[in-house]
Amino acid sequence: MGLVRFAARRLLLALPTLLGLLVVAFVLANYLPGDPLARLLGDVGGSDPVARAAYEKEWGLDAPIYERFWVYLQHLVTGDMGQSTLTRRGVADDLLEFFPATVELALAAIVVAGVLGLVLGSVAAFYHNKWPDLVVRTIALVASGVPVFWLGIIGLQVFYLRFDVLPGPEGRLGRDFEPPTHITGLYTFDALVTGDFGTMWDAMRHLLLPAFVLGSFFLGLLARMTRASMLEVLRAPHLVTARSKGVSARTLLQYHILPNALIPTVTVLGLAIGGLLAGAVLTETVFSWPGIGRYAVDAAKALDYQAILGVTVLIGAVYVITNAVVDIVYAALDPRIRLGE
Amino acid sequence: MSTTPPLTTGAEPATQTPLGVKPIFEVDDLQVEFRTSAGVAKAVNHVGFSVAPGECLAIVGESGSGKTATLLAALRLLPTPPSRTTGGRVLVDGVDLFSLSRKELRDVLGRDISMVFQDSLSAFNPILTIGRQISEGVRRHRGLSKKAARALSIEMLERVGVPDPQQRVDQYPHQLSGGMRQRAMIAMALAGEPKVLIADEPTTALDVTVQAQILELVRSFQDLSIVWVSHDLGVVAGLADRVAVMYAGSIIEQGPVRDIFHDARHPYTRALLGSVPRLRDPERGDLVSIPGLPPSLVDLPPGCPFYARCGVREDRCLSRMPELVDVAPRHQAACFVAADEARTA
Repeated sequence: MGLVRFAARRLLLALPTLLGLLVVAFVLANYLPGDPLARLLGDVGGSDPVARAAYEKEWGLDAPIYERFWVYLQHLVTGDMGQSTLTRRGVADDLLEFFPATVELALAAIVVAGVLGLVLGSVAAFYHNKWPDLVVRTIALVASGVPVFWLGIIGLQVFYLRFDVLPGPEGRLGRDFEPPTHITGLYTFDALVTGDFGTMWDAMRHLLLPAFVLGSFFLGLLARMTRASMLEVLRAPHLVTARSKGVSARTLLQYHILPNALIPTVTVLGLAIGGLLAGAVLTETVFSWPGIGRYAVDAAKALDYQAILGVTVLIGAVYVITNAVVDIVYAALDPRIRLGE
Repeated sequence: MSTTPPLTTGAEPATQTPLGVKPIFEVDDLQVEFRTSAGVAKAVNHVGFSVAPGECLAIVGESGSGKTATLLAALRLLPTPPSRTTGGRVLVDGVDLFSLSRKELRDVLGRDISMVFQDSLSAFNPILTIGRQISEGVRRHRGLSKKAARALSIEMLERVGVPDPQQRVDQYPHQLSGGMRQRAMIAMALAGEPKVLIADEPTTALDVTVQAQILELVRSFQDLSIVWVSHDLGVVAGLADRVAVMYAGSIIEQGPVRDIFHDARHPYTRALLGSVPRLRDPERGDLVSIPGLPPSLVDLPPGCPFYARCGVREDRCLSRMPELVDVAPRHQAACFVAADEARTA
């Protein structure tokens, strides 16, 4: 079938993109300003040429960049992303520990942004130029216009300090709760599977505000996209054709309006996944969320090059893969893409 | 081109409407307005016509004359707002469409009356297969199973002369050529075996040879009552039994096709046909184009809308819109001058 071939081709095309990403990330990390040796060896050792040369020799830093890249690549395919100078552990192990927290936060943000964005956008389109449309457009503008860190702080002020209905910036769980048995690393999911509903509820309460704050930008974007594409479909000539055949209202919505209106929205939703992972840095900082955003900030402050590179490669790879998946979903939804030349 | 059997057989071709036959489709005093930023546009003004069983009525007129708005409004397919149907009655086989609920209307559309549109690419849903779209209306009307619906789609594609219907039924609109797509749309409109087919410029977007094939196809459905909207007079001459001419939202002349083409009475119809207006000025030369523009529908003059462009206008034409009056048997025109001439002839 057309879709399988399309998917295979698209995934194959993602490979050179991934390689290109690695090259750019590696070269950038190499030429970043800052002197990691000064930091690692201390002020005295860092200014001692003998110590520096010894250290560079020890870690292979005296080799030319293409040689070091080749070494990095060889280790990467075996799952070894090097050592973090900050945590003194393998970068891959660090990422495995911190990434689930970010994934859980990003997924929650996607759900918030996706559900609310689609519903609000549809409402606005069906009440085009009436007051619900105006309300949605205002919400969308504010949601995508307000900076994340400001929204996070205001959210904490209102819901934590003033009304005390949501937990403060204390991470993923309250002090009285232990993390559930590790299955996926997503606390809500793991707690649900192990039947630990108290922990699940607490994890969800901790997720709510950060997810809203992180998802707000895409919520606004999705609401506006959905509204625009819905309005376009509602005006489309083929809708008149469908109605002229006397199809039911449900068929009209389910097969003629929604699928056509959702095609552009799916694209944005897919891109949002990458954007949310990258955007998690600010949100995680505000909410003390132990994800890779915070890990990246700590690594950058410590000039921990292996860790920075590892985070960059991970987020980049997720971006490339979600892009490929978006294209495939797009093709599944739209035969013109799937069967086009 | 493959043969195209008629949808139903055994009926004699009805080329003329016998007087006294009950019409199958009747539009009476229809009025439609559009709210625009410039004001309220009166797009359809007191339009009325009827179609007898097996008859083909052509509605001609230039773009913006209200042909499409009339028919879409009649079937309640115009978006409201910006449009508003302010008056009139539409009967399909005796059923008043304007008195039906939305649900009852859906039972009539696609079953008793259906529509074919001009641009087949935008008129099809791009993400559903041709077969699905052909049968989806009928599936609801007759409660067909998925399998029966597919069989019906294949059968309909075969009837309208689409080659390889077994294969085409699973394809998407963009995979068919323009002519094939227009055939598929006719198959879709006829799948419910309607009594009335409304065709809104269905051949305008096609090249001439394909257009001829489509016309031949439509002619082969002899039992069907057809309302054919067009601005192509050549197509109309070869297809229609009767012709109604629209100008600025009103029907200004209607009659048997021979009368309209050989004995047009309204100065606009004459100008449209490029004929010589002989009413009062026999020396006047051929008109290649009609000077001036139609009046703005937002600000229609109280009198005849053709006044500003008319070669035989008189002062009385400014006072009120002339009504359609008989100028010959079964032939009416909305023109004071033509009416006088008919009386004195």
